[in-house]
Amino acid sequence: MSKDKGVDSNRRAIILGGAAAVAGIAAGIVIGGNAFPRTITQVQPEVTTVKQEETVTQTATATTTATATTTSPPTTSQVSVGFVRQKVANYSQLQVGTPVTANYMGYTVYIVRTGVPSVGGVGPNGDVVGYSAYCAHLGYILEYDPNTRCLLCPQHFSQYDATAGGMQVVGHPNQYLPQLILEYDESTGDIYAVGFNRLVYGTYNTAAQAPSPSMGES
Amino acid sequence: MSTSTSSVTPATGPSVYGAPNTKVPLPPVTAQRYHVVCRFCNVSCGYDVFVFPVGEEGGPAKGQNAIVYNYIDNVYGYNLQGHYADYTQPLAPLSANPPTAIPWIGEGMVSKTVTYDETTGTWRPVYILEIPSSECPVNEGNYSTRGGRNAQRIWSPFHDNAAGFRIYQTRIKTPLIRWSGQLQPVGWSYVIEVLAQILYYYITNETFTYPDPVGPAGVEVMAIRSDHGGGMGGGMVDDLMPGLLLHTGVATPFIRPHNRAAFSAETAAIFDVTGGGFINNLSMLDISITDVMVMVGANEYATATINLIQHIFDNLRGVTQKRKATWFESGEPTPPGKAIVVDARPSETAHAVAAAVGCSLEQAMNGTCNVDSNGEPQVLAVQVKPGTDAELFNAVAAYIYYTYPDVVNYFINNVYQGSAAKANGFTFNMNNYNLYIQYLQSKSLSEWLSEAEQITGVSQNIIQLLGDMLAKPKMGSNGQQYYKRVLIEFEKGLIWSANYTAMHALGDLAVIVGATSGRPGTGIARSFGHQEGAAFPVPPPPPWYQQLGLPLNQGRVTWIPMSQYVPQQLQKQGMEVNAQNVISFIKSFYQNYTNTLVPQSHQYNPIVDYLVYSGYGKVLWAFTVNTYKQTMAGGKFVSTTNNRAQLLQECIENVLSLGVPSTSTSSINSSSPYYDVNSVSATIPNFPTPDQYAQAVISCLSGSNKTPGALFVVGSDVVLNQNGILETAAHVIIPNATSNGETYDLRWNGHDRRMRLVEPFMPPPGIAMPTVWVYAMIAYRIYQLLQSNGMGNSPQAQRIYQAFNPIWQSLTNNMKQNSQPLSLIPQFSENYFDYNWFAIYSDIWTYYLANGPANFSWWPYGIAVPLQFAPTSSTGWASVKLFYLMLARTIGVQLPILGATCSGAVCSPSELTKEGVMQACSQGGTITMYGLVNYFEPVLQSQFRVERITIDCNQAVTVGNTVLPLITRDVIYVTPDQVQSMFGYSYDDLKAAVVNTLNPFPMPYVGILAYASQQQSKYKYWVNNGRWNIIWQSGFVDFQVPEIYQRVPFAIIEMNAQDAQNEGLENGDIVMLYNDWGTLTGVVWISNTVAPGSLFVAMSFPTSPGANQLTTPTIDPVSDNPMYKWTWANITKVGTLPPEVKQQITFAPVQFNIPSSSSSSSS
Repeated sequence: MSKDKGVDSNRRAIILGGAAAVAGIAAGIVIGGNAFPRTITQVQPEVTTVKQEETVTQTATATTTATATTTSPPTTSQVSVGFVRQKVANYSQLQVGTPVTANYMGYTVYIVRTGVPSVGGVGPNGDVVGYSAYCAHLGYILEYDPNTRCLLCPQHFSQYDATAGGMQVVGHPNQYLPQLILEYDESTGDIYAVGFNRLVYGTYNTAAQAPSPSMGES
Repeated sequence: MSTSTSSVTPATGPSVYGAPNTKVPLPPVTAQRYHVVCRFCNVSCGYDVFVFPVGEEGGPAKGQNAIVYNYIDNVYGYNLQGHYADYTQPLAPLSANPPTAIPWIGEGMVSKTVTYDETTGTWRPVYILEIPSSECPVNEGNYSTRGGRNAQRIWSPFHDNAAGFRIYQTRIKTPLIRWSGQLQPVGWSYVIEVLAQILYYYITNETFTYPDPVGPAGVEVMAIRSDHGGGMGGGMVDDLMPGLLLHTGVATPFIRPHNRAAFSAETAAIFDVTGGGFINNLSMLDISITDVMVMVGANEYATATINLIQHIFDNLRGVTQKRKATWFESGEPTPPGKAIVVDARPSETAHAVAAAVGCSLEQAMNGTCNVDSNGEPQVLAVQVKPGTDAELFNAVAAYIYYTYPDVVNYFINNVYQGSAAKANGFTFNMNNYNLYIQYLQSKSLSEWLSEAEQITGVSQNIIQLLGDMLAKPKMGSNGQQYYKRVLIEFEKGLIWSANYTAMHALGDLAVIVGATSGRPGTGIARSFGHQEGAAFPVPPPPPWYQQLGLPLNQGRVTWIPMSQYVPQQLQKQGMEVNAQNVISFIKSFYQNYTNTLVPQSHQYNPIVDYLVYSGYGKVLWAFTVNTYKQTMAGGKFVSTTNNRAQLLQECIENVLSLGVPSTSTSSINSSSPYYDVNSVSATIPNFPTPDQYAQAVISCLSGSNKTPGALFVVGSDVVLNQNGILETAAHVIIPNATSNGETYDLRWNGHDRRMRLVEPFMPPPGIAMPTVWVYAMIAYRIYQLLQSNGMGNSPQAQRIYQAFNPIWQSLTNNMKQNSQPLSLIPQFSENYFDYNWFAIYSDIWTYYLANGPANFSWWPYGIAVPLQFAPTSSTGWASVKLFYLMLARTIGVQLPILGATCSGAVCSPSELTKEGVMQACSQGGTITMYGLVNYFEPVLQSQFRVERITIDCNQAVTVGNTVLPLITRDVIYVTPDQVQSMFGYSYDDLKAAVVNTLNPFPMPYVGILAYASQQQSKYKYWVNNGRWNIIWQSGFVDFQVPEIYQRVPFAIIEMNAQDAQNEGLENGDIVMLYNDWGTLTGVVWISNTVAPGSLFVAMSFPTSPGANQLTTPTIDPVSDNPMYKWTWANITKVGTLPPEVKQQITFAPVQFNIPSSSSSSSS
């Protein structure tokens, strides 16, 4: 598989939508079907009715000499950002070893039943886990290997253990893979995500930059 | 919206309901910006460092943050002129690579700590970001799992920075003296006085006198010291300092580097083949365009990560096809490259390289990976039996010679003896080449193939495929045939294995396939371990040279050059110098070593470990090494050194008699008061003054309390914990500033020889000081002692003066103030902030590095500054001022520097500080530096490639207070007659500094040797050893980082699945490995990177020793190198991990191919 480094505009599409774009990139990828229901929105952090709130104050930076391309510095404002509670899957969709591609606050995630009790796992067998779909090295889209129960990056071959909290087996990331913190509703089988436990690739403020910050529930 | 919580099961594990949002601070435009290279491996990726106060973060839009590049790379083809990063949208995959060039700042890249504001005199909290640089041509924004966590090795007093806090706890912050069961802090004056007195004693007593000007030498002093890019990251200046003190000041012959037991040349065989120290002779450009990338005993996935996943992958995946067309002949095919991985196990590299082109490991191993129209696979993974590589290379060479004689003759006649080579004066040793061919022809092809199959375990089919890939010409669409461009990198799989013989056989093969032809895309080099950057005066030879009839004033024999030695010996014995006699002589030379266990190399080049075991020596100086983990037969070294150090400690504390009954103990049971009153009442000494301490040490080593075997151990290092030599043996410990962030240094990399200046961006912890200061002060004090004892004109005083005076002067001249006079030597301050370090390093660069050989001509053994090149005092390296490298950021320049020019205001900074340099640049001007691309090219070809780095201050971009000149990189062709006008010296000067001869010579497979072969016959499993990609060296800055510690919390033994099944072992079982040299206990991990019948054990683990508990003191008797890879052990189960621990760590097997699945499910 060749990597065309000059063109990256269509790679953005991988993250934010388009199952077809994803399928076209790598063979062997196991993905869900219609997991990208939302359109891309500008990042406009707004106050939402969420259970946890966190206040972020952005201060004006004391800008000194800058060249012609300077834009106006950020102004002081109070914004509240936080993760939302969002349904990402239902237990009935899940077969052991076959991940479902879902969307949590606009970020592509994989929900999978590993088949063994796993760190951060929910569900009747404690084996439902969710992870960011982007490698924590340079952000390429990951693939799930049911034989090893790992998420593998086909770009440079980083390998993360989905049963061990996204710990790297081998590979090049600067942190473990961000894992979704999940909740399981026994009565309905619904699986909710309430946040990531680490910084998601490509973001500097994962909750605040969520492409679809307030998703509500479907 | 259902919010009923009663039926909700929260996740198990480390979760918190409503996760705290993770965020990282963007650097503001006002951030201070520094340029460094990574702390870790040989690739030496470029990192941009940003330091800014907590609370002053930047914004995501262009121009709101400090991630700005100003660089044009015309070699790889990307333009980042005036490039501002935009973080407003979540980044696309691979955004760090050009042309997008926006690096994602992950958690591992952020530290929160404190730094000192010199203007206000206060410490303030700051964020420090260490971000892989998208403009650096080495990594192009890419990074490894080590470098991506660079920032987590920065010391921090904040306990919410877990890694930084632990680093801070483990850093050595003051000098330490072992006393009363503790390591007690003392001041600089104390420790300098102690060390000066003891070294003074040993250069004036118990010495051996060398011819003038060396004089009496401290032969009772031994040193283990990183000589380049070692534990601290190291670099030319850091590592120069112990060299000046110990090699010249003390003039001891008994020096060894950090990773091997003698002052040996790891790649002696390649030196012999190429006529010089040309072991790093190619470039990343060549790697990215080669037709056939050969990796021998080099697990680059783990050990040279970015070289593999950026440059080699680009090549294999076809990204560089256009680039190839630039440098190949017109009409020459430019297909995606091929790769050959030769190793004794199916390493991660074999897996990754196969997967990168869409193949499974099995396909790569059986020759069916992407087979082309020539019948050649794209990736071939060749698995050899341990130590048998020489046989493989000779068999492949024989196949090539028999099958493609025209290809071989093309290189021999049309390149090495072609018109350009002849015109340029290249010499090709036809006599030795003919011996080599005689050897290849001594067996028929089928004899070679079947013998090699039997010895190496590689099938005949694969041997032939290997030969086809290397030598079968490419067919152009124009019907013309083109010779393959072959590039070979080899590393410890050869170096610590059969070393001389295997490496020589590889070098011979490289000659006949044109890897040494100097064409773009060719070369044969080491992959290296750590970065490079060495400078040291060469130490004297051992005193017994007299008895060998060798001179004492002309340097030392570092290895036995077999292509000279063997014919000489044959002639002495009246035998004909033919291939058969040569081969038979070499085999019996090695067999003789196995019979006697005495390596002939030791008499020329002493093996320091052997001396320690023999009870020799009084002082052991350990400079930034962890020999307790990193030497052969490590357990034995630990036991011996501890014992010897303890004998001294007991003596100096006068505790030898404590608890030892002086009379019969039966009286205790029989008479009142039922204990020995005198024993109880005996007090122990007060903490001594420096004088008392030093005199006690000397007395216990050599004086009235002389204790046989006692050894005084000095440690000079950065991290204390997990380094057994410091924790358990060292009597005195010196705290060093690290050349990763706390002081300047100069380093260059493998694969590219790119030299960069690394800048300090924070102060050292406690009162740690740069080695420049520490060693200069010790030397100064010794000099004072010599003067005050009437020896001011002695040879000892003179050599210390010659070695150090330029540094004493520079420290004095560049001391801004003396706010904290060192009480021992009050004219020098002991305050780190009182010095203008950049000016001091500039002086050191000019005197010791750029002009080192000229300035050290007084020292009979010379100064070694690898790749140094300065035909006059104003050319080559000497045409460069250190501030040129400061402005060159992470781009630097390839070595050797061929020349440099400067014009405009930038050339004269008003002061030699970072501010002064940037200020000068802001007023305009241009600097141009030239470096060599490939060492084989200048004399073998009619023109040679030169890298040109242009630093243009007229097109600078200013971000806050940082001036970023526009840097442009080109590669141009230069001809021999242009050298004089371009660079100011003659072509002959250049020719002498590059490869100007080739010398192949037959070298057979000689089997497993000495102690290693004893273990092989007694114990079951071959214990292969090497690196994990997440562990760096001894793990000295790994165990503090939570994610790294979690991944490798103990020693892990990798096993093949079949072997595990046979032994009844499972993942998580605790096993003990044992042989005659030690034991190692660790946890089983069943991995498909291990060959059957073998194990894989890291050379070190962060919190435990590794394979060296089992390695043997076997040494290559020709090259003096340890054969670490050769050891065997048995395995026995001793337990199993508790389930809660087992769950915390991954035992998933390494697997880079997923069988494709057609099923999918929808949500």
